Amino acid sequence: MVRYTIKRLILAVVTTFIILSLTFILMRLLPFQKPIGTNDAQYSYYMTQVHQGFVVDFAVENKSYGELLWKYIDSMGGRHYFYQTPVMTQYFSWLKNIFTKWEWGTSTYVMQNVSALTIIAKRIPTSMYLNILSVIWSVPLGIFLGIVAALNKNKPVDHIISTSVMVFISVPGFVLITFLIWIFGYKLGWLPTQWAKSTDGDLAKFLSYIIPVFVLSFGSICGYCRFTRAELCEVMESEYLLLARTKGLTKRQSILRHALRNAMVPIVPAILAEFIGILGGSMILENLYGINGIGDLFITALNAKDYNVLFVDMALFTTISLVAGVILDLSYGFIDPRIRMGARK
Amino acid sequence: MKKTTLLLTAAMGVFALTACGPKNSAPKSWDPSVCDTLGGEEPAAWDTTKAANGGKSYVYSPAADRTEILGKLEKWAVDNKLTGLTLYEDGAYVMYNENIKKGTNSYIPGYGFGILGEGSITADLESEQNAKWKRYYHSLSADDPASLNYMNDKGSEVADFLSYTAGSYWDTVMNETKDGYQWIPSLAKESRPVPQDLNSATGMASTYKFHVKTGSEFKYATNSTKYAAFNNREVELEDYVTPYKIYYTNSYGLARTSENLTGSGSILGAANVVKQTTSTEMTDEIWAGIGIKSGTDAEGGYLQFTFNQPCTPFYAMYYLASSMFAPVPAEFISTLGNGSFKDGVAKWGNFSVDMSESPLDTYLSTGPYKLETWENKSQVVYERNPNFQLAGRYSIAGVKISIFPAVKNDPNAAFEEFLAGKTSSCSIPMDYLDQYKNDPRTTQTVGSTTTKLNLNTCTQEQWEELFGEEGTIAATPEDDYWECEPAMSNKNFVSGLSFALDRKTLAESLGRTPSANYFGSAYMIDPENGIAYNSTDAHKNAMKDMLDGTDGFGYSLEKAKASFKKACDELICSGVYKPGDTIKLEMAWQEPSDFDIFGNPIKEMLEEAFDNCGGFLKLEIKNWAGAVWSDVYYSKMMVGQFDIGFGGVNGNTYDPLNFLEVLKSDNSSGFTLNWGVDTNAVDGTLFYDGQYWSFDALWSAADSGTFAIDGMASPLAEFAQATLGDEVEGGIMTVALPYFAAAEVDASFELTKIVANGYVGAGIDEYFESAEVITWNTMEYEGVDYLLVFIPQTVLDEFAGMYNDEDNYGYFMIDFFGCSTICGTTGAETYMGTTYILNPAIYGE
Repeated sequence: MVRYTIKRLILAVVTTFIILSLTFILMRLLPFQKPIGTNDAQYSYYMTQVHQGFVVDFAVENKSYGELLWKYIDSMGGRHYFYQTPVMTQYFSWLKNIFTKWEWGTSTYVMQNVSALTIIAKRIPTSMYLNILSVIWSVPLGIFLGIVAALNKNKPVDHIISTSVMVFISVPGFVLITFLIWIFGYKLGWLPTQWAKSTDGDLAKFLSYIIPVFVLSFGSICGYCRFTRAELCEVMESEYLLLARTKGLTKRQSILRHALRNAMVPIVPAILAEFIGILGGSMILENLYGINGIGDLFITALNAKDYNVLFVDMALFTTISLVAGVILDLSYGFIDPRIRMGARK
Repeated sequence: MKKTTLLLTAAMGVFALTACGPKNSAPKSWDPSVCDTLGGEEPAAWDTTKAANGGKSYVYSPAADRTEILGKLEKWAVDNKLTGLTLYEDGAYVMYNENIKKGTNSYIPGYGFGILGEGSITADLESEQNAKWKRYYHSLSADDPASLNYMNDKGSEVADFLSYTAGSYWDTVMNETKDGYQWIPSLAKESRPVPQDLNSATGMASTYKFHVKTGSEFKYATNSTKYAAFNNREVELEDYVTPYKIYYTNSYGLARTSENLTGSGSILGAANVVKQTTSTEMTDEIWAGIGIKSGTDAEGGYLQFTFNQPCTPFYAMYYLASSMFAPVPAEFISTLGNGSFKDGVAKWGNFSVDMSESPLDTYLSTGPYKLETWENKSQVVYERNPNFQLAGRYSIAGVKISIFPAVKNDPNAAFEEFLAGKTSSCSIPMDYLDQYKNDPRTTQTVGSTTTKLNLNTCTQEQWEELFGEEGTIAATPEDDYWECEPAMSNKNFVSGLSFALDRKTLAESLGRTPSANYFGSAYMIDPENGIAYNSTDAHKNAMKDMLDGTDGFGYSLEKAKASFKKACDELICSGVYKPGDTIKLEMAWQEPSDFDIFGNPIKEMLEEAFDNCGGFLKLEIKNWAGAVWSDVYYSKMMVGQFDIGFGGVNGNTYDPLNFLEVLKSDNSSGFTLNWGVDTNAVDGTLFYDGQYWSFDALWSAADSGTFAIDGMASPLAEFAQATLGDEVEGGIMTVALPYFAAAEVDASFELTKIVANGYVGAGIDEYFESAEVITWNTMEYEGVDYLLVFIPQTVLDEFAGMYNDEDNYGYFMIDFFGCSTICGTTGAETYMGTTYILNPAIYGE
């Protein structure tokens, strides 16, 4: 098991490296996005690219460098011929900066001159707290509702829960948060209308979690509920459960000891997958509620074409997904005794 | 039976409907004979012998004459729709919290209600969690600029945050009668800068001197623990010079290179240093060429500024009163950079690379407030600066700005926050206007900016000249060429758009002040006496043609339909469109939320007027918004990628004439937003002082002086290209260069420097090393003036390496510098142009 875990972790690291390398190379292989702007603005843009090592500036045409991106005569008559630096040159200098200096580049827009890594590091905790709280809240509630619905299959309680789940799962998060802010923030005044500041009191900070956590977990609750209900209904119709009942177990005992545990096998991995999904889903929500997290950062960096920040943000999402995948695989062994990771035949 | 009754009823119904409907006398199909009635629009005939020629300057003309010029320029711009389609002034209905006591109840244009200065906060803001901040002024901002370094800011966001904490030489206070304001010294000692070379006839001078507060008179303030040593540090005279040296050092690559560099208020020699091609560090020699000096006399430390153009003491004060140049110690910058001044400049006013330091640490306060907290993307809080020169007049203890991105997507979000008691004031959005317009807490403000719909009236050919791959304004890749809608270059169509805009209804529904004027109400023709330009006869005459027969704001549905009809006839007759075609336009906005507020109502107004004009064409307008609000400027209007674009710019409200530079088609201001009219063409409609002018020529003559040829603004010298010969004597090759240099009445030109500016290799740093030794002479041969340029052997040797490479090295370049004299006023040495010295192996003799 330990060997298997180490092997998986090493594989995850290698996979991360390959994914990031491919992403970098593919992003850089995309046709160069020529800026639209005044000549001064374009010149400024190209010179920034030159300083970042992605573009070279020649004083005369240099046909060996491929397609000429832009030529410009500045206000003093100086000639500039801009060409793209070869992709692999960019890639190796990028790798060199990471491995020798742990330097992932600095922001060009979000926070000028600040390290992209620092910007992400400052924002991760907020997003993580939110997402973990959301999972902690949504998993038991979703599973509980699913169990209730399954145990009351085709009864009014089941219909109410199932219908509500279908309705609420269809409401997009940004609609829901706008609605909740309006009702509970502006109309009733019970909850804050935006994310608490560091200088706000503890109560205000606590209250400011309620709306985003609720909105983030809303879809998950509905998902867990549907999933649990479906799995449990299936298990409850299985023959081994019937056998358990015939052996004298009460309904409660058979469900708790056999049905639930077996139904959980596909649900636990779904929780991890959901966690990653929530991370992505919090982008718009963070923007609307003024939460200083990595989701909002991703949108801002993408809009502003702040590639260094965007790339570190993507690297983070990739790493989280892969680590979650490893944990997911390992979790099968804990949940289902029939599965033994890395066992020799 | 039933069937018969039903059919009969239906038939009667159809008959009744037909009979009761309005009788439409408009033809149902397009009649080609209409083309016979269209008279071609001939350009106005004008006497070309009366075109302005030679050196011209109205810089020192009496105020009344300059007002007349401004009126004529405005009229020409309005008639040619260069001013776009004006909509409203940026004034609004603003609601203040009950705990805010304003300095005055009457809004003062250019000053406001005097909230921070003369106002006060009478009760706690209950929603504020921090006890200390309950009586701070609370506001919202959509974005966090994450910087206080205005020198490196491309927009205006940093300026808003900086204004609280940076001082300036002079400041404004409300007057005693509370109906205006006056300028008082803040970091300066004198009430106005003292002229050193006063021309008593004009009341103007180029060089001004004033003393500044130093030593125990004035100290820095900061709440930084890391840089606490600079708190209460006394300001030294050299600290006033440091920000200018930083700004003018082009190797620092600061983005904001407009203030103090061009036009009125520009500092002598500054532009040449900043706009040099090569990366240059500031040296004593370079600094000596810039018109800023400091020194000490019996009254203490002083600063002396020399402008490129003479101005009055009032304007000199106005030009210099910028918080961008608040003093900063060089030692502080070096400390920020751990000993490196350059690294310190990169960090000054910004977050550090590891975010361990915020602008609270990296900026020293010299203004009314100092930073108390800067929590990125969350809040920025200022507290009163006890060291500020005019601290006594700021009764409000602090300012808190909450970052609230939701306002970008929701036009009501900020007002909801206000209603929830979380901010001190807010303008009332459209949805709440009826409900709160008459609320006792509501006041109305007057703006300095007129918001407009800017127009791209270029033909495709014009567009490609300006914005094509070799565009003079912006080079655009061919794949991104804008397809100009032909209707936009039809004058009647554009007039129709203007007449169809019901500005009054639109603005009132938004709680704004409708306006057909190009200038906002805050623009003063005589700022010292408080005379607004819009109140002058010159302005009223300029607007007369546009407003006659309308509702007073340029709206007339009848005139709109008539103009549209005529435009349709012209467009169909000229074969540009066929009857039944649709004219498709794109209207660009700042935010998607603008669609509902402005876009859709305006689209409806324009489409309805056009579609009902009987012109047999349809109009279809599509709204557009970018990812960030400024896209409408930088990705659309400034680079010609639009048909109609929403936005406004403002300039120096004390110098409306100078502000007209943003209308010039050569984009000399960098902020031209309306395209399609060549403003340096003479059309015989702009007549002043007995002469015909182009817009550019008359504007330049009034702003700084110009040299005119046939009414057009022209360069004083032009240099043709030349080809290298073979004869080298004494290590010098002589190249004869045909050139033109003005020696007309009231205009002359003196060549001061020629510099070789070609690169000899493939690397950016390989310049000619012998640049300073190029000399010249002049001669006349067969009626043509020649410039004999003596190119030294050293330059030729460097060029020899590329001489025979036909692919890359066909020429090298030489730059010309010189001084122009217009009407007795000699300007500073400026770059005049570049020419090519061609390689004969490639270009022939």
